[in-house]
Amino acid sequence: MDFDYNDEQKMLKQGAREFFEKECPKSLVKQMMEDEKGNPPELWKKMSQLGWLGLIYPEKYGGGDGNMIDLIALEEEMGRACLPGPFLSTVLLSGLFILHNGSEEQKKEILPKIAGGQLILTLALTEQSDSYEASAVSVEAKAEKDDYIIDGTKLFVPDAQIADYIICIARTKKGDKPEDGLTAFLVDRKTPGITITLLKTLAGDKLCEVVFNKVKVSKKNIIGKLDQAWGPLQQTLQQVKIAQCAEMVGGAQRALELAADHAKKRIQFDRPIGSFPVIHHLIANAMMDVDACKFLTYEAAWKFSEGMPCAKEIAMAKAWTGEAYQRTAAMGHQVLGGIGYTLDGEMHLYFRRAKSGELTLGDGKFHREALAKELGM
Amino acid sequence: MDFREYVIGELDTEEQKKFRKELGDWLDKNISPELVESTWILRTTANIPYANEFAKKLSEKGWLCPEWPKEYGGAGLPAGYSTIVAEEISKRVLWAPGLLGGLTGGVQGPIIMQHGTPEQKKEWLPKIAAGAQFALGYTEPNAGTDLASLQIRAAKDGNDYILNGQKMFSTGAHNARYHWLAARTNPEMPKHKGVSMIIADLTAPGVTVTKLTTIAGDRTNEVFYDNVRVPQTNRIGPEGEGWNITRSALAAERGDLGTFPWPKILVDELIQYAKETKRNGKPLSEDPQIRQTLAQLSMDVSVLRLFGRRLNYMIEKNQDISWSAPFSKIFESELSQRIANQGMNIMGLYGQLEQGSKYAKLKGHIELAYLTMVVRSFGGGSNLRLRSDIATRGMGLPREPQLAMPVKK
Amino acid sequence: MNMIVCIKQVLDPEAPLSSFKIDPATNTMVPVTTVPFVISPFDEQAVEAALKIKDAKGGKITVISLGVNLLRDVVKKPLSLGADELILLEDPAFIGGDSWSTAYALAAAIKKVGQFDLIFCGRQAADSDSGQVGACIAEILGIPQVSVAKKVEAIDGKVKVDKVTTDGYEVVEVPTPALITVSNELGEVRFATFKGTMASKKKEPIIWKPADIGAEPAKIGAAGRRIKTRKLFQPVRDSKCEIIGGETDEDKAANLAKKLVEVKLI
Repeated sequence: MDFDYNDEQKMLKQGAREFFEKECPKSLVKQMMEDEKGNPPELWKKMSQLGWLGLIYPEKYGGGDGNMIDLIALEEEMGRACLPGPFLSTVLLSGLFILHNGSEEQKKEILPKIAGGQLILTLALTEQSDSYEASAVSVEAKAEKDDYIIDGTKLFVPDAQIADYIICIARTKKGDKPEDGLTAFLVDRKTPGITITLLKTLAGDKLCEVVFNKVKVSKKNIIGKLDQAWGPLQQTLQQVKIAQCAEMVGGAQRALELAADHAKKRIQFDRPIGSFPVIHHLIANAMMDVDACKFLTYEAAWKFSEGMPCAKEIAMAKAWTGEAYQRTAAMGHQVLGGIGYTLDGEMHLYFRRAKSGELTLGDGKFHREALAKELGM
Repeated sequence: MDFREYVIGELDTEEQKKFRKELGDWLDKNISPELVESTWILRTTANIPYANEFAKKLSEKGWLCPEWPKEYGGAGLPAGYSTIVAEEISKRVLWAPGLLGGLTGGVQGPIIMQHGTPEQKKEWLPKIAAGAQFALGYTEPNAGTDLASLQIRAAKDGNDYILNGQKMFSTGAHNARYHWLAARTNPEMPKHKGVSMIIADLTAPGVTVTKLTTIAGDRTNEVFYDNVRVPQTNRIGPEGEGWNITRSALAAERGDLGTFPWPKILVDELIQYAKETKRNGKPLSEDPQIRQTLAQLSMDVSVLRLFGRRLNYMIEKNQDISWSAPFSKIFESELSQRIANQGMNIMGLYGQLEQGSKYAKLKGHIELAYLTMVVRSFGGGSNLRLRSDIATRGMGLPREPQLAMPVKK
Repeated sequence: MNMIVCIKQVLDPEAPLSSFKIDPATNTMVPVTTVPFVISPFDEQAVEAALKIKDAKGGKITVISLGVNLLRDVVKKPLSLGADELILLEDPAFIGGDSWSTAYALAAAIKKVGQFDLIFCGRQAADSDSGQVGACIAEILGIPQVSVAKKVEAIDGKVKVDKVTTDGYEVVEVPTPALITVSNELGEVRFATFKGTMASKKKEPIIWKPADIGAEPAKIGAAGRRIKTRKLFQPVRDSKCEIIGGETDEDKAANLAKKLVEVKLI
C-alpha cells in the first residue's frame, strides 16, 4: 500500500498551495463572502491558464487528462485556501455530468469553454423539500412539440446567479418509482422565465433560489436520455463527493494546524497552553479524525480511479469527513478562545465551510444509511 | 497512491513460494484443533497454553525465530520469512499474539540481540528460540503509567543482585519460566537513570506468584521477590540503561497493532444478528437507529484497517512511528469498547447472557467483549498518556512540565 | 540557446528559527524532520531567468543539482516549469564541501554536458549564503560572469544583463558562453501548468557519480575543502527596551534625539 501522492502530484499540490497563498489570501475569501458574484475573475482566469479547470477532462475536450488522484491533490489545497468560486458547480457537478452523459456535440461545445474559464454552469437538483432523494424532485418539464416547458422552483442551487447555463433536473414522466422519469435539461440562463435570487448563507457560498416560470427548452438540450437522468446523475454525484471530501480534508488539516500553532504560542499560567494534557488530547483526537477522513477519501479516490466499485468507500468518506471537519473546526474555536471569535480570525472560515460541506450532497446520516444498504441491512 | 490489497503470497519469490508450501503443509499437520479453537475464544489469554505447546514444536524446525542464525536456534532464513510464518499461522488460527510476537523473538529477543554480551546471546537466544516463556515484569502497585518510579530493588551482593519488591499485573507469570524485570539498581540516580533490565528465574527460592483474577475472568499475577538471588550476568545492557532499552524495544515492537481481528468479527456478527433477529415483528436491521449505529461501527472498522496499513507503510519507509503507532492502539481499544457497549444495546436483554448460558447469543461474544475490552484502553499504555505522545511527537506541542524527583529509598 | 541551471535543495528558509538546532561538536546542523525541503529561492529565480530566455529564443535547459537525499518532488520542479533535463550529482562524496570543491564538481558535470551558451546560478544559497559557487564555476571554466542579475536578455552571441547595485542597477553586456547569478529582483517565478507538471513524469533524472564526471576524489566534497568552519552558532539576540519619556510629544522627540546623538547613531 502507498499512502502518498506520487512526485508529480506532490509538485501539483505544493504548487497549488503556493499559488493560493499568493492569489487567494483570506482577505479575498472574506471579501467574496459578501460579494454577489463570489468569483474573482482574475483568479478564475489564472486557474484556467494553469490547466486546473480542465484537469479532470480528457485532452480532446481541452482538458489535462488528469485522474481522480490528481484532482484530489488540487482539491485539498483549494479547501485549505477556502477557495471561493464555482469550481464544484461548474467543473465538477455540471462538467462531469456533461462529460459522462452529453452528446459529442454538447461535450465539444461546452467542456473546452469550462476548461478555458469562459463558461460558468451549475446543476439544479434540490428543492424546497430539502432532500437528495428522487422523490424530492417536483419541478416538471412538459413536452410541447419539439420543446419542453419547465415549471417549478429549485432551491440551494450553487452559483446560479453567475451561471451561463443551468442543468435542471426535472420530472418528465411519472414512473413506477420516483427515480424513473427524470430528465436533465441544459438551460440557457438568458431564457425568459428564469428568476434567480441569491440566498444569504453561513459560509458565504452562493446558493440560490431558481424559479422556472414556464421556461421553454428545446429537446435538443436534453443531456443524456429522456426520463433516465437519475442513475447517471447519481454516478456523477459519487465522483463529485470524492472531490468534495478532499476539499474538506484540506480545510480540516489547516484548521488543526491553526489550533496546534496557537497552542504552541499562547502563554497562560506561565506556560504555553499546548503543554496542558487537555490540549494534547484535543489535538490528538483531531489528528486521528483528520487522518481517518483523509485515508477514507484517498481509498475512495484510488478505487474510483482504478474503475473499482467504491460505493461503500464513498459513503464512508462522505459520512466521516463532513463530521470530522466540523469537529476539528469546533475544537479549533475552543482552543483559540476569544482571539478566534472575531471576524478578523481565520478559524471561523473553516468552521462555516465545515458545516456547509457536511450538509451539501448528503450529510453523515444520509451516507450512513447508504452504507447500511450497501451492507445488506 | 495505491490501496491495492495484495493476496497473501502474491509477491513471493520462487524461493519463498517453496518455503511457504513446505511450511503450510507442516502447519496443517501440526496445528491442533484445540489451538485453533482457543484462538476463537475472546480472551487474550485463552490460547496461551496451546500456543506455548505449539511454539515448542515450531522451534524444533527452527521456525519459531526463523530469521535468527542457526547458532541461536533459528533457521537462518533471510528477512521477510518471519512474516511468511506469521501469515501462514494466521491463516489457520484466528489470533495468537504471543505466538506471532514470538516469531521475532518477542520483546526480549531483539533486545538481547542488540544489547547482550556474546555470552548472554549464547545463553538466552537459544532458549527463546526453543520456546522458553518470559513474563513481563514492569508494572508495580505504585508504578503504572509512571513506570519510571518503579521501586523493586536489585542490590549488589558479591557477583549477584538480591531482589526485593513486587511486580503487579504480570500476565503469564504463572506459565512462564523467566521474568523480564525492570529493576532499580541505582537508587541514588534520578528515577529514569537508575533502572536496569534483569532476567529472573520465576522458579527461584523467594519468588511467590499470586493469582489475580480480572473482571473478565482471566488470570494475571502479583509476583513477590523476597531476597531472591540473581547473578549479575543476568543483567542485559549496562547498569542504569534499562529505561532506554525498554523504550527502544517498545518502539520496535509491532505487537498486535492493526491485526487485532475482533472489531471486524464482532461488527460482522452484529450486522448478521440484526438481520436475523426480530423485535416487535420487524428485523432489528430495519430500525433506523440501529442502521446508523452499525454503519458507523463498520466505518470505524475501516478506519482501523487504514490506520494499521498506514503504520506498516511508515515502518517500511523507516519513518518515525512514535506518534502514529498510538493511533492504532487508541482507536482500536476505544472502538472495541464502543462495539461491546453498542452491541449490548442492540442485543437488548440478551446481551447480558454469558457464553454457556441458556439463551446466550453470538456465543456470548458481546458480553465477554464488554468485560475484556475494558483493559485495552490502558493495557500496553494508557490512552490518556498516549494522546499526549501523539500531540507532542506528531504535532510538536510542548510536553507537560515535569518535576524530576529521585525515588524515595 | 543551450542553458544550464544549478539548483540546490535546502531546508525551507521560511521555517521558524526555533526549528533549527546546531550540534556544537561538529559545527553542523542537526537533521530536522519537521522542516520541509525546497529549492533555494534564488536558484528558482535562476530557473525563471533561463525559462524567460527559452520563451524568447528557444533552446534547451539542463538543470544540475548536487546533494544527497534529493527529493524528486523538490528537484524535479524546474522540469514542471519547462526545463528539459535534470542531472543529479547524488553521492555522499559530493557533499560537505566548501564553495570551491562544490563548484569543482559542478564544473566537471557541466563540461560533460557539453556545449553551453549560458549558466545560471542563484546569487547565494538560502542556507550557507556564501554566494561564491557561481563565481568559482566561472573561474574554473574560464568564462566571464555577471552577478546579482535582475534582468537577462539574449542578443546574438551576447547577453545583456541588468545587474543590481547598491543604489540602482548597471547594464552589462557580455559575450557567451557566460555565467550569470540571479537575484530576486528578477521577479516572480512562474507557476507550473498541470500539463507541465504531468509531463515531468517522463523526464527521469540522470544520476552521475564522481567517476562519471571524471572528478578527482580529493577535490570534491568534504575531501576537497580548503575552508574550515570554526564555529556555527545561532546569534543570541538580546534586546533591551528603553522607553524614552517626556511630558509632551515634542519633549519625547527631543529626548529621543538627544539619546540618538549620545549613542552616536546620528
